Amino acid sequence: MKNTSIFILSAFIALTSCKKVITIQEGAGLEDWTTATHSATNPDYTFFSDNEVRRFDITIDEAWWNIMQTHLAEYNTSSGPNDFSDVTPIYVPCNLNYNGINWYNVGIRYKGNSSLATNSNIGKLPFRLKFEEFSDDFPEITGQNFYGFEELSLSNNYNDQSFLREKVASDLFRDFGVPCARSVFCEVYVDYGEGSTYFGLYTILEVVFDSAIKNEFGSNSGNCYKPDGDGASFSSNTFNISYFENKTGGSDFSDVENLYSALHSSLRTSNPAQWRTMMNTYLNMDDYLKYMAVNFSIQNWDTYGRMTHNYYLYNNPATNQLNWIPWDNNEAFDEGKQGGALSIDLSDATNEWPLLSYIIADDTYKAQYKSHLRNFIDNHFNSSNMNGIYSAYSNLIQSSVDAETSNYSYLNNSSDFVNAISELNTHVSQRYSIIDAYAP
Amino acid sequence: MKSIQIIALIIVLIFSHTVHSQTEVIVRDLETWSSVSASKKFESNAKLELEQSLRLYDNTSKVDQYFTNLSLELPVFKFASITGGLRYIRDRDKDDGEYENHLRFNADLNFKHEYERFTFKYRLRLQTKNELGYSRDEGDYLRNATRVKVGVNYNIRNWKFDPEIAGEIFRESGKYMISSFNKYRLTLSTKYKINKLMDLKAFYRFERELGVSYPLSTNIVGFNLTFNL
Repeated sequence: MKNTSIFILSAFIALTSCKKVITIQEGAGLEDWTTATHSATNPDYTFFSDNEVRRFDITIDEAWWNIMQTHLAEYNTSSGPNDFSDVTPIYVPCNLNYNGINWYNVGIRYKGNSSLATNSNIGKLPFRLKFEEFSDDFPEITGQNFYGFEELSLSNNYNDQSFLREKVASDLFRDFGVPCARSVFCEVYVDYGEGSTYFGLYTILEVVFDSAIKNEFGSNSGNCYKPDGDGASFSSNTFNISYFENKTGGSDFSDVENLYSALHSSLRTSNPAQWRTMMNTYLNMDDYLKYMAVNFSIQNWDTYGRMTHNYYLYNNPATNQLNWIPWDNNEAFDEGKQGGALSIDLSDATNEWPLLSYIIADDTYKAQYKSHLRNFIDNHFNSSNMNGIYSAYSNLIQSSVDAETSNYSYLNNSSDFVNAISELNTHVSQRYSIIDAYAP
Repeated sequence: MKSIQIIALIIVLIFSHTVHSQTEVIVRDLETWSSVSASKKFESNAKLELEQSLRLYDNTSKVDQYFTNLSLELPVFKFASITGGLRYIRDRDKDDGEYENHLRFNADLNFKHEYERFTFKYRLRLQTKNELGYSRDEGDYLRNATRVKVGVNYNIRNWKFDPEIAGEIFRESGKYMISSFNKYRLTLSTKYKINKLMDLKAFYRFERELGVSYPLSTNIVGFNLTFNL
């Protein structure tokens, strides 16, 4: 009898107290959830259309919105006048509606550097969406993505009154064979407790270490670095591996260190052919030279050569080569700031930027660079082609631009947009002449 | 036989497109909390206590945390006292199993009054906790909690195991958090005086999360051995 009582008591305790795990189907209880829209295995690239302007409606709880603003104020306080903040903006949950379909408890945060730090009076700020960020709090959204994209970057076309720079630059890079994130125009509406507000016309980009490298290289399992800071110039004076943040989580930086060692090898002057072979072992040089041709043709100055940011390095496991991936191209097609864009012959690239100065000093690489320049202006970056692209895109986005309001726009008046498009047409004409003379 | 295999393959292929992935969520667990304390009561009725504690989770099979707690209670009136506490915690990350170092401070306001054989106890606790070794730039901010506890003890005649029941609710707050009630506890306990030097306290505690889709309910069995110096 005593043993029976103990057994019954033990069984009762076991049934009512012990660990219980329940299984939750992805999207459980979420009305709009489907596999194709919310948990697709492969990204649906039809979203990145060149012929449509998308529309995102974002709803953020007022309390979370206020927290975002408080954190943004701290971000701006922590960065000096000519410096970028080390603080990463925080994610808060939001609801995203696209084409009448809802995505639930999506993580949203501000992103960017100068576009965040210097525009506190304009509400049109850049965002990052991460669809599974809050799956710990909301297990039913585990595996949530947006047509296969786990993250999306919402660029606010900062400092670009044409709205085209981000999109056209990424199109040109990719059309010329340089890996680059895809992009699409998107009207963004945000409701943070005061009704839906038009935040303006954005350019949505896929995130490099999410889908872009998987799409370009067939996998995203290699090291994907987002270098940022003085240590990322590859200069012997400042090189520091700690400035190479690995977005895919690995802790072996030997690929970057090998590239640095190869770049600074004495073979560069004693045996250039062997040096080039060594360089190509660690960096996909043909793609890199294509990148250089596009980047310096379009005067994309806010990156390597003037600034130690806005590029990724991906180690493709299939070749064990690092691949150069441009990022954040909203300042392209312009003479630029911070000393301006480098000249097309790169004569002003100092040894503080050895991935330019050492490359252009090598006759073989220089010849390849010029060959790519010629190819680029013959087939892509010429007035005949670009005027058509600028015209088509400006017509596509005209109504979205016109709808912008002063609190959420970088336009001062309605003619700014027209003038900016005109400047792009002038720019391509001038650049063609310069490049044609340098690479006949 | 071959046709059956083909049909089976077709069925697998069809259903493989409709099978949804799943995630597992723990909604109930059994924990044990055990501790040993040394307590010294002074002539002024101030009480200094040092406690070493170990908490196990996952059906009491894994270390959740262990900590050292130092507290000082000062009487203010006959019915009221204040307590200050400092706790150094070695908290095991449930994902990677690595131990994190945390420091917690708490300040309590305690009230007590008796009615016949009942003793009513009230406690307001303000606590703040921070992970050591991480800065605000790395996203580490103070996590604060306001806790309100109400309990009642009943003195049973000629019985050494007087029962006490208590309820406590937690409100969590902090920078860049939305303040909310995030859990509550219900506790049934008793204290047995082994001898003049030692007390043994045993309790059963039920804890449940609030404000989440799939709240975790935790059943806690606890023991505390106190040496009265």
